Amino acid sequence: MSSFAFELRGRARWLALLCILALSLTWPQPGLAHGGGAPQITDAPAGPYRLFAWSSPDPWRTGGAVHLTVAVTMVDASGQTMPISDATVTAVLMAEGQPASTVQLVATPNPTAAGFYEADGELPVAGVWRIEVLVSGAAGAGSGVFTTTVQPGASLNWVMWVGAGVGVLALVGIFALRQRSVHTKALHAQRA
Amino acid sequence: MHPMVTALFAPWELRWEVLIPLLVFGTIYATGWTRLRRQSRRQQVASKWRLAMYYIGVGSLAVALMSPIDWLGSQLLTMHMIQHKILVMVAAPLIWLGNPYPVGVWGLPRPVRNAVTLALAGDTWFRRGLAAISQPAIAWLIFTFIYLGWHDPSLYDLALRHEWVHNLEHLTFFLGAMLFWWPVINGAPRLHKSLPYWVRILYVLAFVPPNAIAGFAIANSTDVIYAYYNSVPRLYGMTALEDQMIGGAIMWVWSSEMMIDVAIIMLGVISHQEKKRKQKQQSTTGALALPQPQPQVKVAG
Repeated sequence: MSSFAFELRGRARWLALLCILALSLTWPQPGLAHGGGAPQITDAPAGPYRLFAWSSPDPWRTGGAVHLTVAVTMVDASGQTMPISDATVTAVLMAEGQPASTVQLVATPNPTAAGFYEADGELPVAGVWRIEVLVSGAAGAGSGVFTTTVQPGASLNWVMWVGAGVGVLALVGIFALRQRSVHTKALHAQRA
Repeated sequence: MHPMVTALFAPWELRWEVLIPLLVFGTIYATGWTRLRRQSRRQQVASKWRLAMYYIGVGSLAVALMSPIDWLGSQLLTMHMIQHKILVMVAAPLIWLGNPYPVGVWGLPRPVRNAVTLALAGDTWFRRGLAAISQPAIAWLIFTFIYLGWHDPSLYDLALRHEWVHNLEHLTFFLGAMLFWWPVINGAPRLHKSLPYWVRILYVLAFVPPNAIAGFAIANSTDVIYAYYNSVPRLYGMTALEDQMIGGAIMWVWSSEMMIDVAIIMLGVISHQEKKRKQKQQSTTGALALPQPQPQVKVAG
């Protein structure tokens, strides 16, 4: 009984591990804060600041998470570019011809990188969107604008299906191996 | 403090797609190591130094993919190169030195262990496929192709623009490096005859020219090759071109130096083996040369 309980605990542990793996594949895509993305604004003047912005994934799609990275810098008297860490960064996203679909995102400072701000959101409709990035800080305020075309969302969430498929295959595999092992043991017992 | 130093000491980003595989493989290895040690503390398969090598290797993967180096790689080519070097020149050989297969297999639950052993020991398509791609010449070509291919400007920029391409780049770098280092470290499972040390020296040294040419070309280019780095703020006191020069030099010097170091270590091993062989030979000859008892000659009186 105790060995059965031990085996069950062992099996439960591995099952839990597999579930975590499968879950990890189906996990919603988190904010991509580790850099990269399609450059949208490069070193544009925004009041007293210089503004940079990247969007990811490329292209943006409806129904999925969209991510915006903004960098706010200032050039000091010596010509050195300095990151601005204490600014308030907001993005106003407007679908062309559909003012009701306006989305406002407040970007939070990236703890890993001074002067960088990250915002996540979701866009309701496909089409051309105008994104205005507003920056305000101790030195003043400014803004930068870019436009991007948002594509319709993918009809199939393949990441979720692949994750679920891997989970099911793993469970089937383990079950089949258990069955084979039981069968082999039975054969050995029969021969003995 | 220099902004680069400040950035390097920034908090880590715990990425689930990195963290979960590292935890899973770390747990499997720890379980196997403990099981083997319970059987015997003197065996060589799961020794303490192998445990240290494995976890330093896994730790270096974590450093490359979750520390601020990862984030800085999207801002500086230099940091991106350092990240790639950690993946292919540090993590992969250290993990092989940890003897991951024999130890890890004992950390798996019995049905999975049986399946893995059967897949690698029997005449299976998996073993045949693995044996085909792990032939030293093929492994060398695959790794060199992956390594140089990702340095193509369009692919490199694509990786910086798309997260999934970037992850694919790192995954192929690491798996390609595992394949490359396999015959050098001669890790288990051994699907081919072990290479003599002099062949291993040639194998690693053969990587120096293609790597040096690529690194030299990047370092000496008069234009910014990877256009993405023109779109980032220059916060660390170097222009995109200076950054590219340092990045290219890191690629050129670090990898070449690593290969030369490995070749020197191999020469050391050859010399050590030769010394041991000579000692053994001498002791055998010495034993044979022991004074033999003289036959007693009786003199007839």
